[in-house]
Amino acid sequence: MGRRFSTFRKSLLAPLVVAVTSVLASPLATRGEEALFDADRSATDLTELTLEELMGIEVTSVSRKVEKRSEAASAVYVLTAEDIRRAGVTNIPDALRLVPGVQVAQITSNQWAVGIRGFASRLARSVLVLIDGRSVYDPLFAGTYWEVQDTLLDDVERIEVIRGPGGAVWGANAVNGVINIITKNARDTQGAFLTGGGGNYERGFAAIRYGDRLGEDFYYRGYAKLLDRAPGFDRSGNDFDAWWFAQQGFRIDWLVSPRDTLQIQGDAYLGELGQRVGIVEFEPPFLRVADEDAKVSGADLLARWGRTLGRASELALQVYYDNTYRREPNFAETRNTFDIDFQHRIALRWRQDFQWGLEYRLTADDTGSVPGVDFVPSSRADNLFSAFLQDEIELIDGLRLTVGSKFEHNDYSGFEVQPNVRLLWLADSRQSVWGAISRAVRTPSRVEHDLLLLSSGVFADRIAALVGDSSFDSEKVIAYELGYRVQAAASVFVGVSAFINDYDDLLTFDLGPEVEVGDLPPIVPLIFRNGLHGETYGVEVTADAEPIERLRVSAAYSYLVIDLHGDPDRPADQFLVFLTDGSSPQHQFNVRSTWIVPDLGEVDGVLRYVDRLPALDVGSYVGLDLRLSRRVAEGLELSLIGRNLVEAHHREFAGGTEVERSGYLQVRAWW
Amino acid sequence: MVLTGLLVLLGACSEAALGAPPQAAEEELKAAFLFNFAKYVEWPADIVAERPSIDLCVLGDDLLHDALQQTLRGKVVRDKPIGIRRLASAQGAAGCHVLFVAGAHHDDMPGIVALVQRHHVLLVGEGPEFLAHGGAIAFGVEDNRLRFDVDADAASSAGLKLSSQLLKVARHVSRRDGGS
Repeated sequence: MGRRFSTFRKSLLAPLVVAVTSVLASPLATRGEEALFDADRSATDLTELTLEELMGIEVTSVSRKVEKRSEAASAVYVLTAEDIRRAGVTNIPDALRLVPGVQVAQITSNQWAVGIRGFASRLARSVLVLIDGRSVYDPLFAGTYWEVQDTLLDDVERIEVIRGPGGAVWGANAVNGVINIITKNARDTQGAFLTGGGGNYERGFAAIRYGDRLGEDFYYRGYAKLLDRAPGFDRSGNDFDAWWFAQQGFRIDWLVSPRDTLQIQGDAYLGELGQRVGIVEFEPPFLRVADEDAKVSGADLLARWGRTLGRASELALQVYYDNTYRREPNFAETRNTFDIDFQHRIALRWRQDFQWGLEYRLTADDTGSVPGVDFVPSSRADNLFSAFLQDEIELIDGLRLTVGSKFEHNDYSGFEVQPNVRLLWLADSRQSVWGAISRAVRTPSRVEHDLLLLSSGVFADRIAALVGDSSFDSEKVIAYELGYRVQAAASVFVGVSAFINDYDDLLTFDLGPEVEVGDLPPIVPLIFRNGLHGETYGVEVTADAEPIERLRVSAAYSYLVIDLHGDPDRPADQFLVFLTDGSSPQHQFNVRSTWIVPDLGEVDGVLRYVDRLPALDVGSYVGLDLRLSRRVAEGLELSLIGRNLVEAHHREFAGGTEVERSGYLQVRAWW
Repeated sequence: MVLTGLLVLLGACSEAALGAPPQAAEEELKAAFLFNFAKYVEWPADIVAERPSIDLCVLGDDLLHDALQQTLRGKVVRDKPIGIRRLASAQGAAGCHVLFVAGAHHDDMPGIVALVQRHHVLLVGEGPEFLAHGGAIAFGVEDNRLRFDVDADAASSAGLKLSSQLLKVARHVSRRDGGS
């Protein structure tokens, strides 16, 4: 937590803001919508099949096996490799700015607040993020450290963002949405690729990838990347948030037999992130602001075996190991996670598509090596057992019912059930309507149960102490969703989705009795408690058109209202209601165009508007990114990218630095 | 132990299941095949290098055009984005990498062949007569599954090289020197 105490203002609320935003910061990982319906993702996209595999597919007039996005019974949005490349972004959070219903706010040069349908914060606790099926949700503080979720962006096949609960398939913490980052098959990244560039904010970056094959069926690639980013704009002139980050990795895709595929991949990273940390000390002036780098490192290894059993059944077994390390001036976390996941999908009679799966996860941490932010116990190992069942039934032609649930047991809140029911009606070849009701939970993290932070901040001459409580229970949501998609004209696609999320047992604090210790200012314990409830509701609209050949225009609008309630007599409740309601933009809008101009190259732009965040004292802003790209020779592309061109600098969130106007030049070469 | 039991259980499940084979709409399958053709055809180097995208064009089949739009948008072949175009007439075919010609346009084939051979376009169509008209690849449905035949000479006279992987899975490959 201490890491997020980057700002300190001498007001009653400042320490709470920091404490709370850090707690609320946890991420919910996302998985793609298509994935919701397909245990074996690889089987869903025909274009990923080989010619031999295509030969095995029966021709039918009604597509069942292939889930097209236009046929998904949830609000899914897919960023393709092409979308990402042409957005001119250099990191995953910036790519997510294109997605409707998603709020991305840069806090410092190396921190982002990402939220889906509200609840954005440093770690975003109600969004689940997965990279190739590996959860990157940190169970200590509940959320995603976006700055260390990286890969070679050119190797990303797609990013699927599901708005709305994904608990029935993906499990706990997919309360507001799931983000699924999927990298390319090694077969699609053959040859050498080199990219590099730099500018005023992207001070320098470089990446290399090489892919090759052994024989006809064994493909592999390896990559390495390095980046150096400048600090954000700080009004006091302290450039504390510069950082560097290095990562390398590999992926192998092996067609072991006509029925078996084996995917093995791994990554390792290392970085130093400039941070400002407020450290409370037990002697005057009780607070020390430290501009010190956080040191991060990590590694992961994943294997996935897929087998086709007969003509209508397939299974997948996935195993991964993940290690992360993070050290800040007053805090350190070492974590090792092992996960095994099994899924089976089978077509049954009466036009049923049935899936079930089992998963076990062991995660163990050690937080004891640096004093400051303390946990009791300082190291802990937790088990997660889960199972899911899902059946998709074609009731009559064009009317599909999906029912399913996840059942899991964790060491904090015990047994959890997360069911959903979804209905899709394909009205005709151009229109579809869907609706869903689902329940999801955000399970307690270590911080809510085990934290003992005697020095979380100083306010009104008192020291605030954050204290965990092992009776803290899961936060719950029941979501009601409705969507409509239409192909309005030959190349015009429009989608509308609306939702009401009904939350219960959301996090707040009890103010405990003041404690006097020696000459210290009085200590006020803030004890985690489930106390808030309320609703969020909103609408997201997307439109996509190709008015002339090679010019594609997309627009997205998101409307969001958050209306939480707590006990009117508890100031902590009232503060958290104020903070949560006012930390998300009510309106967001973006329009982007990608245009291939003959004899010139690619001319792309994104214009976006983000409404103000009243609780964080952040004003609305308009951002404009432009990209010019030209193939200057065979296998050589030059791009010039300008980002945030409207203002010299603007604030996007509380407690950090501001985002500056920036530009960079990028070279891509392949052979 | 547990895992072994699980696998045995699964095996039993799959034997018991009497489900259908994987199925897909014909247009979507064709779209996926066209995507694969684009991967396994070698154009003269400048045809790929000088253009910003690999363009798949459709003449006379709107359903296929829509399926291409839906399944291939954003895909990349040889590090180039895929472009999807619907042609109103054969006149626009010069800039295409792959052209699918629907059966209704077979009468126009002589003109199309003359035009596209100069511009190194892979001509794909359907039915055995399509190859007789000068096309390079023709789809056909057999046993409820999509198959394709190849005329290697038509491809090479357009300056295209078809990879062995493509020829290997074709139902028939006809060559002037015989061949099956």
